[in-house]
This record gives sequence, C-alpha cells and structure tokens, in this order.
Amino acid sequence: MSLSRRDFIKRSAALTAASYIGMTLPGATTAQAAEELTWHRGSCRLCGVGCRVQLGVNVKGVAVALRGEPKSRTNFGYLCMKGMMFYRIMAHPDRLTKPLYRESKQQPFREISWDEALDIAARKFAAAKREHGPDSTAYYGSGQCLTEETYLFQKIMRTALQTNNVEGNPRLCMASAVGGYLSSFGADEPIGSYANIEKSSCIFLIGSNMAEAHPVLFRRVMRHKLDNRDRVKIINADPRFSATSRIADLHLQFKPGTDLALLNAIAYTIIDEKLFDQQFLADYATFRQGKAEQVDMTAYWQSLQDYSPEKTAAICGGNIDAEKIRAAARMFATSKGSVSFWCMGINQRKRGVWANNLIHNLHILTGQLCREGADSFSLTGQPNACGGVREGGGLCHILPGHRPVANEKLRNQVEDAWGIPRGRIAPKPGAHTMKMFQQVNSGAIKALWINCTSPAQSLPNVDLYRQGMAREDVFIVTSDIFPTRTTELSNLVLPTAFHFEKSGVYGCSERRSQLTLKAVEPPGDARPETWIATEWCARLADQLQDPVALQAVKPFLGKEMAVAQPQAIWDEYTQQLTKHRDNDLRGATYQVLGQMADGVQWPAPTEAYALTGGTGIKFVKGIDPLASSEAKDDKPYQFYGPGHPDRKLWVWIRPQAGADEEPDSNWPLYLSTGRVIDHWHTTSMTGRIPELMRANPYSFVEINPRDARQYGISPNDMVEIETRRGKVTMPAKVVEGPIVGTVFAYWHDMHEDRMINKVVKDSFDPGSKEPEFKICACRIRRVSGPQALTPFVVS
Amino acid sequence: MKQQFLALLLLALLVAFAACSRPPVEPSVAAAGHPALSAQDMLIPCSSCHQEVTPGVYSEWYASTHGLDNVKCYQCHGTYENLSVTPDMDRSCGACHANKLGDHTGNRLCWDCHTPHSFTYAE
Repeated sequence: MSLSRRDFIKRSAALTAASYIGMTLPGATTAQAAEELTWHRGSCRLCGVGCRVQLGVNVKGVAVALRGEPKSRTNFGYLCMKGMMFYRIMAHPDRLTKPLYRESKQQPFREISWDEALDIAARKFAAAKREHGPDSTAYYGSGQCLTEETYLFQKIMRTALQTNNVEGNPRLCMASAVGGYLSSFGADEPIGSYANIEKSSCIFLIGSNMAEAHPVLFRRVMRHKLDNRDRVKIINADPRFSATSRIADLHLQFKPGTDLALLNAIAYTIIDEKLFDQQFLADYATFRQGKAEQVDMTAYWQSLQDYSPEKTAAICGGNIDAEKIRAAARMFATSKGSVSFWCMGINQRKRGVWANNLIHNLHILTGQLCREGADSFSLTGQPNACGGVREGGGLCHILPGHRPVANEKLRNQVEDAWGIPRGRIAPKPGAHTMKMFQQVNSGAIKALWINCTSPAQSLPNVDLYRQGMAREDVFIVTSDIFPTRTTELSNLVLPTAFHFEKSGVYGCSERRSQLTLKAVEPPGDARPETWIATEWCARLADQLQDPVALQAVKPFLGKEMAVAQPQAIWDEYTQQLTKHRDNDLRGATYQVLGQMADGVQWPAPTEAYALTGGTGIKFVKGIDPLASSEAKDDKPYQFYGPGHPDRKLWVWIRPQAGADEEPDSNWPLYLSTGRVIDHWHTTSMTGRIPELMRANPYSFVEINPRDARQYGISPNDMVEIETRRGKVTMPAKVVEGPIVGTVFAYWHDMHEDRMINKVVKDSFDPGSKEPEFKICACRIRRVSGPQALTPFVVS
Repeated sequence: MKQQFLALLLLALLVAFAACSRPPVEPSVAAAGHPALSAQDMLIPCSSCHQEVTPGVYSEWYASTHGLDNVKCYQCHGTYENLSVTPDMDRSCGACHANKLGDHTGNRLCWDCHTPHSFTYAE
C-alpha cells in the first residue's frame, strides 16, 4: 500500500529527527557486518580523471567494497558515486558469460564454445580480406580498453589484415583536443598536471560541466576556491548554468556556437590592454593562419578587430557584455597562474580544433604555460583515451608512440620493431569513425570488430548508422561485458573480463599511466581481450596462410593470460615503440608501476626516473628529462614535440564559426546534449546499479522557464524533441540551466523513445573528424502531462 | 448535450491533470525504515522530497562541500532496499576518507565532530 504524501512527509520528518540522535527506527537495515577483506590497488574504471581505488575482495574472491587510494596524487582518496559503486556490476546477473553467435541477424543467438567463436571470427575476417581487400575489415575500439588491448588490436589490424581501419570512440570526444595540441604546441596532450590546480590563481572553465563529468577533479578546484576565496578567481563560460557554475566568480553565458568569438574577444582585450607577455612571445611563439602560413603579430591583431568586446557581446548574446569580457581577460592575464579546463563543449564542435587553438592562444599570449599554476588542459572523458588510443596507435592515422602512419620513416620504425617486412603497414590512413560507419552503411566494410563500446547508441544521427550495422552482409563481432544496443546488431558476441578481472594499464588525462592487476575471476567463460585477440590472430594467420600475420601475436602466444600476457604486450609497446618518442614510457615497467600508488607521468625514460613519479610539466629543463636531452639552445623551455619543426608555440588566427546547423524559423531552438553525474555513457554499466539508475532513471530535457512558458510546458511534462533527423520524447526539467532558446538533453538512456543521439547531427570537424554533438537545431512540443516511465537497459 | 459533454470532458481533463502532477502511483514497495514508496516514487531523487520534508537538512547539505561537489544522499544512506539512517562509516565515509578513519577518529563517530550534512571540515 502506498502512503499518502502527508504520511510520507510526517514519517520522513520522524526518520530524520531520529538520525540526529544516532538511532535507527525499527525495520531499518543495520550496517553490514565487518568481514575480512583483501584490498587491491587499481584505477577507477570510469572517467578520465584517473582516480586510484582499492577494491575490497572477500575470502570467497568476490569484490564487495571499494574505497579511494589516499596516497594517489590524482584523487587523494576521494571518489564520486560512480567510482564508489562500479565494482557492483562485476557479479551482475546480466554479465555476458558465453560466446554467442548467429549467422543471420534475424536469428536468435546461440551459445558456442570459444574455439568455435574464434574460428568463425577468423574465417569471416580472412574471407573479407581475401574477397574484398584489407580495407573491407575494421576495428572500432574504446577509450575504456586497456592500453595493452588497444595496442594489440591495432597491431593485428595493421600487420595481419594490413589495414589502417583502426578507430575508437575517442574520435567522438577527444580528436579535436589532439588537433588543438598538435597544431598549437606541436605535441599532443597537456603540458602540465592536475597539481597546477592548487597552485593557480585563476581557473577558466569553458565547455565543461566539470562538477558532473569529472567530479573528483572538480572537488580539487572547489576546495582550492573555498580555501582561497578572495585570491582565486573562477571563470565559467558555458551556454548552460550547471553545477559547475556554483563556484564561479564570473559566469559567461553565451549563445551556443559563439565560443570562438568570445575567446577571440578575450585575446583582443589581452592585446588591447597590453596584458600579454612580450618576452615569452619573442622567445617561444610565432603567429599562423590558414594551413600554417606564418604571419606577424600585427596581422594577428588585425584579425581580432572584428572581436572587440562590444562587437563580441552582440555576437554572443546571453549575459555577455563588454565589461564581463574585459573582466575575464584581466583575471586570466594578470593572475600569478591561470589554468584552463575544457571538455566536450569545446571538442564536439564543427570547429573544435579551432576552439582548442583559441584557448591555447590565451595561454601563449600571456605566458601562462610551463610554470606552476599555469596550463591549458583538455579534460579527457574516458579512462584510457589518452594512454591507450592516443598514445597506443588506436586511431586510423597514427601508429604507437604518436607516429603519423603516413610518414614512411616512422612506419618503418614500427615495422622493424614488430619484426615484419618494411612496406607491410599500409601507408594510407584508414577511415575515421564517421567514414568507417558510412562504409558500413555502403557495405564497403564487410567485417567489423567492435570492442568495449556501443556505437549503435553513441554515434550521432545513430539510426542512419544502425541501418548499416543491421546489414546481413556486414559481419559484426562485439566484445563486451553486457548486452547493449550494439550487441543487438552483432553476429558474434564475445564475453570479456571486466576491470580488476584482468591486468593492464590506463593512462589518464595528465599523461599518467597506472596499472591495475587482476584481483578477481571473471564470470563464466568471460576472457581478457588480449587473450581473445591473440587467439583470434593465430587462427586468422592460419586462414590467410600468412606467416607475417602470425608475427603480430607470436611473442604473446601461450603466455599466462592474467598478467604475463598483458605484461609482455606492455613491454613490447613501451620498450620498442615509445623509445625516444615524446611519450617515452620505458621506465614505467610493470615492476615500477606496481610500486607506485599513482603510476608514472611520461616522459619517463628510465626506471629510476619513473620511480620519482615522472614528469609533472613537459618541456621545462630541470623537470622534463627530454627538455634537456633534446635541447637546442639555452632557453629554459624546449618545445621538442614532433609537430612543430620550428620548436615554437603557434598562435593561430581563427575566425568565429557557428554551428553546422543553426536554428531558423522551422527549427527555432538549439539542442545541446551532455552528461549527468550519476551515469556513465550509454548506461550499460551504471544503469544496472539501482542507486545510480534511480538518481537519474532516464533522459530528461532541460528547458529554460521562459521557453517552457512559451511552449506551455510544466515540469515532468512529456516533450517531443524533433530535428531534421527524427524525434524523441522525454520528460522535461524546467530549470534556469540552459540559456533561453536552447534545450539540453541527457544522453544516458537506452530506450528507443529517448535516445537523444537519434536526432543529433552527424556533421564533423574537417580537421579532427570529431562530430558536433553539442549543437543542432530543433523544435519542441508538449506531448502530454507526466507519464509513468520505466528505466530501461538492454538485457 | 454537446456543452455538457465538453464540460465533463474539461472536468475529466482537470482531474487527470491533477493526478498527473506526479507519475501515477503503482504498488508500493516498503523500504526498511522509510515510508513505503511506489516504484515510480522511487525514481524521484531523494533530495526532491527532502527539500520539502526536511528543508533544514537539505539546505545544510546544499551549502556544504558535499552539496557543492554533488555527494548525494544515497552515497551515505543507501537506497530503499539498503537504507541506513545512520551511515556505515567504513562503507560511506570510508570510501573517500579512508585515511581519516582509525587513528583520526579513535572510537568516535565522524559526526561526533563534523556536523551531519553540513560537515564543516575545520570542526
């Protein structure tokens, strides 16, 4: 029987009063009895912060508790709710425990043995290569795979199948940051570390709801602000007022797609008020436009004339006025140390690379780099997008160790390290993610391996690409731990071991590699991906009658799968392929990583140096060993990255560029999408933890009260969001969050009615190829009052 | 007749609207120590109701570092099936403050010194 609301309120009040005097009402559960646990150190499985955790395993070998690692310099023991609870999915009854197969996607799955499964996968990929060529095969991985897994899969694809069709979901979230770092600094990944937070005086948060997407790192920002309320200034620039905005001294709320103008206006003020660092610019910077044509500072200043604070305020709208822009510029430029943080709000834009460049410009102009408290820092969404995919060769255009595949000399280095003939690796970059799924749609790709991700939910305009994935002539293998929207479109589903059920390394946002060793057994017949890939490749080589193909896995065949095999893969990668590269990880052996509470930051060329923790700030002599060994002059900073032969930082001229699809009379609103703190990506994991699911049981659409009034929408009303690509319907939250004229939908929902990526546009940045998830045009209408909805996960 | 029908229809819509101000009630599930809630009510964030029924507690939490950092009710108190009015220190506080348990607390409870929900760390 349900209580009346009055009863509920009365009893809740009594319950709360009881809590003050330390008693528990009759019937309440008591604390779980203490049990003997063994604590295993490792990394959090979820976001890119790289929190270190300790997993509590009981005498039966079951994971039953989790706590933060107090000695870790990433999280100092703190965890978010997802981190606290992720271990609870390990024993979830929905776990995939047997290989599943069906010849036709119309058939039901049947359980098969690993031998059968691996033979089928080998036969199908070999047939595709033989009959349709190497590029009819593809691998689509994840920033959640261990580095050993990404490295091994890309090695197999390039060596055995001879294709560069190697991609992963970091293309959807990080690619613009890669493009920005390479084009501005000549080297991928941040220069500094999280430690700059506590040393900064100004923190500039743009395009990031850090409080929800990176909560444990946000705690450090919040703590620093609360401890230094007057000295530390927080600027939050975002079209949406979010949980992050609560700690801001200055919130710049601008119309979606006007971020480039805003950033140029801050640069304008820095120059106009002579707040730039002339000596830093003279020593370390040049100015560029177009495709890297060098220009002088006068040309740069001339390019900013369209972005005076007054002109820009008119472009940006929202609460922006000229004085706010000037105030932001002064806070940023005059502070003793300024750190910028951004994430998807900047990266997932049609001109995401340009937006990244314009943030870096502010740091170069003011010399807010390479010193304590100053950095230009792209937050990473996933735990191993940096370490595995960006560093390990997990994208179509790069080989391990930040080597462009199109560069013959660098290709040869990799071929020599792998012991395969020069010329074996195809010189042409493969298909980037969106092109890959276009080729699935056209049928050009015949065999696709999807690992640890669910593109059938996470791609933009996803229904278009689900059509291709449903084709009977496209063979799809999916390796994962749970059923997803993607397993529904697969022929072969392989059950994989989860985090702490296998061993390997994650590399988080701050260039920090951290080891997690196996602590519990995987359920049923689930296996580590490194074992799966090794065994598959051996069969593939047999099918192809190609001894060179076998070379991809020969060093790892037959090794014990829990530790010895991933360790051998890690050793090959780090010792052979990061040697003398900017991400030199030779010192970060399993032995060293096993001793470190919080891993090692590269470059770390020797074990002795790695045991100090590695490099906190790149390019600085006395801190970064490569800055000394690669030095070309006496200057304290040495920008030795592989992207800029002139060893300079590049200030870019980049004009304002709006969204690919702007609102008009038929589609009058902006649609933006994003994350909430309780969920991770598609909810295939967090949706199976009751506390997390109940906290945010389905996608909501946030609507500004002014827009809600205009459309007659009340809280919890069901609202249809329609774009040129289709419709979804979800309940409304009427909040002063999104700027007027914008609706914001959460993307954590597997239900067909509420999957927001069905309506998001699939245009992408021409440089980074990262899609513009963050902005498209839509219209909305109230469908009904509140409806009883049921949380949903594919099972 | 038509006017009567429209009036009845309007009345029915008004009643339906009132009933729909929250999703319809389904069979309740009693959680230990917590007023029984329907399956739909369980999908309402704790803070939504407690903002109303225990506004003082809500305000303290919202203004605290836990509130600023989105440490939510269920992280300390669990959800309906495992609700604990008095949190298990090891599993809730200890998840983030493991190094503060043991020597730091002695035999005391965290909330003997740190006021529950506002949790001023300087106390």
